Order: sequence, then structure tokens, then C-alpha cells
Amino acid sequence: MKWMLFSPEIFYLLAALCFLLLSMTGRLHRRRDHHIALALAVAGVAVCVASLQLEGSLFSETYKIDLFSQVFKLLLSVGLALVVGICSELRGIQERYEHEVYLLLFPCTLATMLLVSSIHWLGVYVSLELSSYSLYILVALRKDWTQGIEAGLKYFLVGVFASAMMLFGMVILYGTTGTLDVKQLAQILPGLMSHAAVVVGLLLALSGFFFKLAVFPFHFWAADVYQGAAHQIAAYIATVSKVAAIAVLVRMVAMLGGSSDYFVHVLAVLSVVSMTVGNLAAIAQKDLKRLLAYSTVAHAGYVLIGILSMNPGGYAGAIFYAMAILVMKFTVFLVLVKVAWDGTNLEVDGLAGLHRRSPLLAMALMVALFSLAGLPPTVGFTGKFLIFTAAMERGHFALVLIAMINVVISLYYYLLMLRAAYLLEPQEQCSPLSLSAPIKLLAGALVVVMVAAGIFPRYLMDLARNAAQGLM
Amino acid sequence: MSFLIGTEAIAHVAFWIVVGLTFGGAVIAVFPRNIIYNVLGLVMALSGVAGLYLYLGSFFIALMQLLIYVGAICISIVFAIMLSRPLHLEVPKRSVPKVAMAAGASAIFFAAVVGVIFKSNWVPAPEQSGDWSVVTIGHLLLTRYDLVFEVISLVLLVAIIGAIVTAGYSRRFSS
Amino acid sequence: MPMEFAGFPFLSAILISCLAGFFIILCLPEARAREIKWVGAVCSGMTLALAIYLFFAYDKSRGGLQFVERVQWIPSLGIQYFNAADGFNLPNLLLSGIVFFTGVLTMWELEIRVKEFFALYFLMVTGVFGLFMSMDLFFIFVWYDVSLFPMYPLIAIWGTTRKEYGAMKLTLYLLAGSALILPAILYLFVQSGLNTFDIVRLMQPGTFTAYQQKFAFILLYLGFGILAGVWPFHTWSPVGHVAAPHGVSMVHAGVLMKIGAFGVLRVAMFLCPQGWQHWAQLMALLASIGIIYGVLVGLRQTDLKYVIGYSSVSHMGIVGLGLSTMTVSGLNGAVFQMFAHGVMTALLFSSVGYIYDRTHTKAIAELGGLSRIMPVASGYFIVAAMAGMGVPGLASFWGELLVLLSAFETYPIRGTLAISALAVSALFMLRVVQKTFYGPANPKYVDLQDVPFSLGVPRMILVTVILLFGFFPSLLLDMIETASIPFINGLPR
Repeated sequence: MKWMLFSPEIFYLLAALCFLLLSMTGRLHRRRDHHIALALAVAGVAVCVASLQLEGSLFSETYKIDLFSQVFKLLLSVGLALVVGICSELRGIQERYEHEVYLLLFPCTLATMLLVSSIHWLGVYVSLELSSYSLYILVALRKDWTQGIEAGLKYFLVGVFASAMMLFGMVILYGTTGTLDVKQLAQILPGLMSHAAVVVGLLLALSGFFFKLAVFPFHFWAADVYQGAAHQIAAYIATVSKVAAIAVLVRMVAMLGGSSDYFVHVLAVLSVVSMTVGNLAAIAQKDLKRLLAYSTVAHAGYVLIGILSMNPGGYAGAIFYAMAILVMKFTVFLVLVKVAWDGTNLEVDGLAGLHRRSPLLAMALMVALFSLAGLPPTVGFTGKFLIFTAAMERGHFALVLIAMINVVISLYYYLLMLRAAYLLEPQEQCSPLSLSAPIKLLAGALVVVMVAAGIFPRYLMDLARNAAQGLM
Repeated sequence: MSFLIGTEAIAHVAFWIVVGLTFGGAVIAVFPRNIIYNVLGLVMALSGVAGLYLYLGSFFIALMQLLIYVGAICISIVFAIMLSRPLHLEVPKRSVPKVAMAAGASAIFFAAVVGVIFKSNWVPAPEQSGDWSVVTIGHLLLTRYDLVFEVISLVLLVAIIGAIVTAGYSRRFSS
Repeated sequence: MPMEFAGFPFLSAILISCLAGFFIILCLPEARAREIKWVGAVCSGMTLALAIYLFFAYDKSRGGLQFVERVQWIPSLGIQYFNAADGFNLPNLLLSGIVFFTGVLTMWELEIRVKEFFALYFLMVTGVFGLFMSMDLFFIFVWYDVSLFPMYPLIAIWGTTRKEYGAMKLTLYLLAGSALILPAILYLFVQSGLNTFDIVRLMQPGTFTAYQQKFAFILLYLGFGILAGVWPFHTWSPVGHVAAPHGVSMVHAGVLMKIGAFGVLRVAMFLCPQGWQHWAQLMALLASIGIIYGVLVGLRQTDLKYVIGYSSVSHMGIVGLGLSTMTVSGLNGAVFQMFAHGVMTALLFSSVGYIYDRTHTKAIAELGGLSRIMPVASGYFIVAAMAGMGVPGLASFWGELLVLLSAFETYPIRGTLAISALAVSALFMLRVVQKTFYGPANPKYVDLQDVPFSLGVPRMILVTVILLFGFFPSLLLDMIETASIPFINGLPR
């Protein structure tokens, strides 16, 4: 029963095919499609939970199933289910292409799952392409098609550039070592890390994921794409896609990156520049999604600190932070989708009067923002705490200090969002937002999760630790 | 001056011709403002790459390169150009600072890569098992690289959907 | 989870009654403002009762840590939920209880967005209590931030003068402080090699080298010092105090600034005594400048709340000066002054609050002659102002006396300067009192009512406390000495 190992992937493949058939029937049944998608996504979470403890490898040892990969698959499936949960009204998407949203979301999630398990660069590359292609198209499906096409094209061009870099890096790696199998590379590379070519090759090969994670200098797409894409799609890019990128970076650096100071220095520079550029640029933003995009760039910088610490604590911190990003970013997007219910873009000031229109959403937003800023007792703080502790163990004092200063900078724009939601009065009379019961429940649950995981992080931390242990 | 004569010399000359084709094609693909020339440059560059594969002793890949890139992709680009908007409309001006910055960035990258190439000792290409026949490649694709092979089919599916969707846009655009 | 409790967990009970208040208020509908206020009063009253009980139940003859509660929280990182009471934090817990309770009563007349106000207020106070009782570095940092972030909405929504600016400035300044504290805490955690955040274990002599102590001390001192209003990082404090609503000003000036000073004591000085000795000169210098600066700038203010704000800077300078002397009496004076200043400022803000709610102005010139119209309300303010001047018989007198005497011994020049500054400060308080409350009455306010008995309760409590500890300072001093004498004796020579 070796194929049991592959069950989450098979499930998502079948789900994608299901929507392929549905889209061929032509007629649009919005509610029915949403219900089917939600049912499939939730079932996917169940499948991932069931396969959490599996271990083994497939396809001649090029595909590894371990606790690390399964934890991330679970996260990805949860992310997809959450995003599908806010797709009940796809007002930001062209009506005739609403089928295709689900048809593309499922293969994209499948691709991210393949990414976290692949330990052969070829598999990594092809899976990355699959997820990227799906996202290029999803971005272009925006109702206001000029916006959508422009964003899609920008995303595509930067993405293709990053893939080219990545291929080039893989070629250099292959040229110096003669293999692309990560396991074999892990045995060969430690002796070769003094060679510039290996370090450059590795960095270039990772650039595909720097692109996904929006690390400086691959962050230029983020603001335009978030702004141009429909809210739900931007939510997907900000959560699921990021989680997958963190997973691959953690695994590759853990297996290949050891024992090169030069490599660490480059990552440190990328991290510092990413958080500073991201936070400073975010301050100047008026559009909510652009602001979130730049805050994502800053968060990529924090995650990199955990990764470049290259100790189990740092990897565990990065894994924990991936969980945190998933929950807190999604919460903000949930608020965004509900406030901008007609699918148009929202300015920060558009949140005005939220505390009266929906106290629940306002509270969810407040907790999510404090979590993003990294204030205790929220999950975002615990993630940063783990990462900073790990970095401190490796003596990166300056890095931690810079990151903390960045946290203060970021607090400024998070507080401006909070001010809009709690302080400003809307220009014209706004009616209270009517939320369906499941959405209310979801918002409440997210608040509880963010706070509870901040106060009692023990279980999640142990999970992250165990997952990171398996990598070494 | 013995290297000027004999088969080795011919091979050398052929190599540099192929390299020249690739570079020249790349330049033509980027610089002229007429898009048809760009495509022809692309054809030239890709044929050059096919020649490089040939030089590396990989007949199958060289053939595939010609068949897929030159034969299929470039031709479909030509079709796409023919079907899209007329070419005589004015083209946007090139902004000099942007071109300069792009040139600078790529020059730095090129210098860095060249530096890396010269500084590192390359492991000689693994002794080819001698067998790069279609049969072996086919075997590998269906065993070791099975997953990659299957995922590529999914990539194609997604790409086709994308093509249909974006084509839908342009149709609305032109009407 | 392995746990250790010495009897009934009174300390946690304080936190639980705060949190219970928070959750009950969160569940009540917005329209039930009366019930919300009553829940607030009952829960805060409970914390005050518990704090008073702890204060008197503490066994002074035994000393040391008592009422210890310890739960392993995250064993893999050595994080514990570790609370204990000693001579340093009991006065502060009592202070927090008093100010919290009277603060809720002071906000009794609040009418806009009552539910959100009290929910955030309770959250902030939970953080304050948690910080004072915690003996674990991780939790100290967590409570520090918990007590800070509700400040932004509290000031920005319910505040008055330039509220959004004040709220933003205050929040960013104080969190910049936390940006220094967290790296320092992590640095100490990693360098100790003990894999624990437990202060008691980390403060064992020999855990850190002299260099590590100097390095961490300055970060911790600056980080917590921002919150304690140390010059030149005090600029958030007058602005924030003026902008905040009265109840929040009370907690903020009365208790939150003490958190800063207490953090310097509990974290920086406990863990890095050698760093303390190294930097004491600097601490004394900044504190003296703060005292003088606060007085001089306060002289020129025309807004009643700004006057109080700058006098706070000056009084917190006295606390800082006491901490820098490295003597028992200096420490005693500093902790005593924290308590006395807390009660005194709370009374000042509380009585200004009452006056402002009636007159809608804080300008000294406009208020003139108020004692004819509101003799009782003015009386409260005058008592507090006298306490601020250090009049014997009121609580602040003892704190200032002890600090100045020991400062005079340790740093003669700076001590003299500080004493002369305090003489000026007495003058300037008298001037404010005279201009605000005496002279011809402003006819605009003739019809205003004086404080009725029910609304006067919080001010009366505060006056009683000021008088009680003014006449019986030994109640507090004996308590503080149980902690300060062993601490000073245990210092490396």
C-alpha cells in the first residue's frame, strides 16, 4: 500500500478533475459549486490529518513523506479550505470564469503539496511552475479585466524571470556536482561549500522561492499583483503560496545550506533589506491590499532570520511562523472580503466605522493586526520569539535588534489601520454588515486560535520542533 | 599549427559558428523594433542552441529542440502576431534610463557569472553512460522521473486553460 | 504540567479577577452601560481587596519570596508561569489595586462606547498586575506589551487634546522600548546557558560576566527607562498624559510609569548588578537632569494636565536617582516614591478629571478662583499638589527625603541640584494652585456643582492613602526593607 503515502496529492488531483468536468457542463450554479468546493476542501483537510503520521519515500527516493512535509500539507489544505470558505460571492471575478477559480485553486494546492515533498530539483521546478501558472491565470481573472491582465502580466514576467534564474542555478549546481538529487547533493555539498559557484548556484536555485515569498529583490510584483487580483486570490497568494515557499526554503537550506558563512551573510542581507524596504514602503500605501503586500515582504524578512540561523530552533521557528502567517493574514483578508463585499479595491480609510458596522470583524482585525505586528499574547509574537531566540543562539544580535526596530516601524501602519477601523467615521452612512452565521463563527474561531496559540503555544511548538528535527 | 587542419579543426569552427548563431540570434530577438525580425532572431538563437546540444552529443535533445521550439513554438508565435493588432500603429518609445539600467544590471550579472565560471573548478561532466538513446530517456521518464512527467501534463492542462481564458479577453478587446 | 503552589494562589486570583471582568464585560451588550460599570467596580474592588490582603499577610520577619506560584509553561524553552511577592513588588501591587479601583470609579460618568473602554481598561490593568508579580523574564515581557497595546485605542478614542498624535507617539515610544528589552532578554537567556527565563536562577552571582552585564544593563535600562520617563526619552509622557482620558491618565502616570522603574529594578538591576554599578553614574546624571528639566518646563505650562505631566517627569527622576545610589535607603526611597507618586498623580488626574468634565477646559488662566465654586474638588487637588511638593505628613515626603539624603551622600553635586530643583517645584505647584483655585471666580462656572459624595469616593480613598502612609511610613518601609537589605548586601563588591 505504498500509494497511501500519496493520498493527499491524489485527493487533490481528483478534486481538480471533478471541477474540470463541472466546468465542461457549462451552466453556472454558484451556490452548488461553492458547496462542492467547500466540501472537497474540508475533506482534503481530513485526508491530510489522516496522513499526518505517514513516513516513507516514493519515485526512486525523489519524493519524501515525513512529518515535515505532512505538517505543511495540512497547513496548505487548511489554507485552501479557509480561502474557499470566503469564496461564496466571487464578485471580484469575471462571472463566466467562476468555475475556473476552483478548477485552478485545486491544482495549485496540489502543486504546493508536491513542492513540500519533492527532494529532487527537477520535481521542485516543475511543481513550482504548476503552482505559478495557476496563479498567473487566477490573478488575470479579475472582473475589471484591465487591472487583472496588467497584474497577471507583471506577475508572469517577474515569475518567469525568477524561474529562469532558478534553472540557471540548478544548472550550476549540476555542473559542479553532477546531480540534482537533494539527498546526494547533501552528501557532496559540505565539501564544496567554499566554492563560489556552489553558493551562487544554490542562491539562484532558491530564487524561485524568494520570488514566491516576495523577498527583496524579487518583491516588485507583490504590490501590483495584490492590488490587481481579486481579494480571494490575493488571500490565497498571501497565505497558501507563502507557506509553501517557506517550506521549500526551510527544507533546502536545512539539507544543503550548512557550513557556509558567505551563504548566511547573503541571506542576512536579503532579510534585513526585505524587512526594511517592506515596512518603509508599507507606510506610504493608501490601498489596503498594497499595504498588505508590503507587509508580506517584511514578514518574509523575519522568516529568513529563522532560516538563516540554521539550527533546529530556527527551522522550528520558521515553521511556526508559517502557521502564524496563515492564520493572521487570512483574518485580515476575511475582513477585507466582507467589508469590500462588492469586490472593488479598498483604501485603508475605507475601513472607517467598522467597529459599528460589525464589532466582531473589528475585533478580529484588531487581534490580527496586533498579531502581525508581533505583540503578545498572539501567535505572531510567539513565532517571532522563537525565531529571535534561535538567531540569538547563533549570535546574530544585530539582526534581532534590527528586526525589533522594524517591528516598531510596522506597528505604525498597523495602528493606522486600527485607527481607521475604530476611530474614523465613514463619509456617508454605512449600513451594518450582514454576516452569515458560518462567517461569524469563522471570525470568532480565528480570534480564538490567534490568541490561544499565543498563550498556549506548547503543542504547536512541539509539532514544529518535531517536524524540524526530522530535517536534520 | 596542426589544429588548423583535420576533423578537430572543423569541429572547433563549427562550435564557434553555432555560438555565433546563438548570440546573434539573441541580439536580433531583442533589439529590432519590428516584431517579425524578433521572432526570426529567436528562431536563429534556438537553432543555435540545438547546435550546441548536437555538439554535446545529445542528438535526441537537439532534435526535440528543433522540433518543439523552432518548429512549433516560433511558428505559433508568428501566427499569434498575424492574428493580433496591426503592426503599423506607433510603438511606445524606449526610455533611455531604463535601457541603461537594464543593460547595467545584466552586465553586472554577466560579469559575476563569468567570474564564478572562471574561478571554480568544474567537475568534468559525468562520464556519460554512453546510452542517451530515446529508449533510455523513455525508461527514465516512466520510472525515476515519472512524477515530473505527470506533473508536466498538469502544467500543460493549466496552460491551455490559461490560453483559453486570456484569448477570451483579447476577443472581447478587439470587438 | 508540574505545578507548585504555596497555598491558595492569591496572586493568580488577582489576574483572574481582572480577566473575569474583561470577559464578563465583553459578553455584556453595549447598551447595558450601568451593569458594565458595576461589573468593573466589583472586579476591580476584588483585586484591591486581594492586594490589601497580600500586603498585610506577607510575613515580614521571614522576608524573601512568598506566595510562590510556579507552573511549567513551555519546558523546552525553560519558560515558567512564575509569580511571587516580595518587598519590592507588594507596594506596587497595592498601588495598582488602589489606582485601578479608583480609576474605574473616576470613569463612572463615561457615556460613549462604555463597553469597549472598560474591556480595554481591564486588559491593560491585567498586564500591569502580571508584570509586577511575575518572576519570569518571558512573562515580564509579555505583560509589558499587554499593558501597552490597549493604550492606543484607549487614548485615541476617548482622549482629548491632540489625542491621535499623543496616542501614536506614546505607543511607538513605548514599543521602541520593548525593541530594546526583547533582544536584551534573549541575549541574557542565551548567554546564561541555563535554558531558563527564571529570574531567581539567572540572578545567581557568576551567571554572567562583567561585560555581558554591562551590555545587557544599558539596553534594559534604556528600554524600561523610556517607560519610566527617563530624560531624554520622556517626551511621550506629557503629551500622552494630556491626551488620555482621566482614568487612563491615572493608571498611566500612576502605575504604568512605575512599571518602567520596576523593570529597571527587577530585571536590569537584579540580573546585572555589575552593569548597574558600571552605569550608575549615568543613571544619576539622567535622573538629575530629568528632575530639573521637569520642573523648569513645568513652570511655563498653561494647561493643568501638562503641569501634572511634567511634574511626573520630575518625580520619576527622583525614583531614578534613588535607584542609582546603590544604598539601602536610596532603594527604599525609590520604591516608596513609586508608591507615593502613584497615589498622588492618580489623585491629581482624578480631581482634574472631575473639573474638566464640568468646565471642559484645562487652561489654568480660565479656571481661576475655582475654590469658591467647587471647594471640595479643589480641596482634593490641593492635597495632591501639596503631596507633590513634599509637605511633611503626606506620603511623598518620606520617599523624597530618603532619596535625597542618600543621593546627597553618594553624588553631592547632583544631589544638591536636585534638592534646589525641588524647592523650585514647590514654588511652581503653589503658583498653579494659586492661579487655578484662588483669585476672582470665573463667572462662566458659577452654576457648576461641587463633587457629590458618591462621585467623591475614589478621591477620598486616595486622600486617605496619602495621609495614612504619610503618618505611618513604617508600614511601607518595613516591607521594602525585607527586600532591599538582602539585595544590597548580596551585591558583588
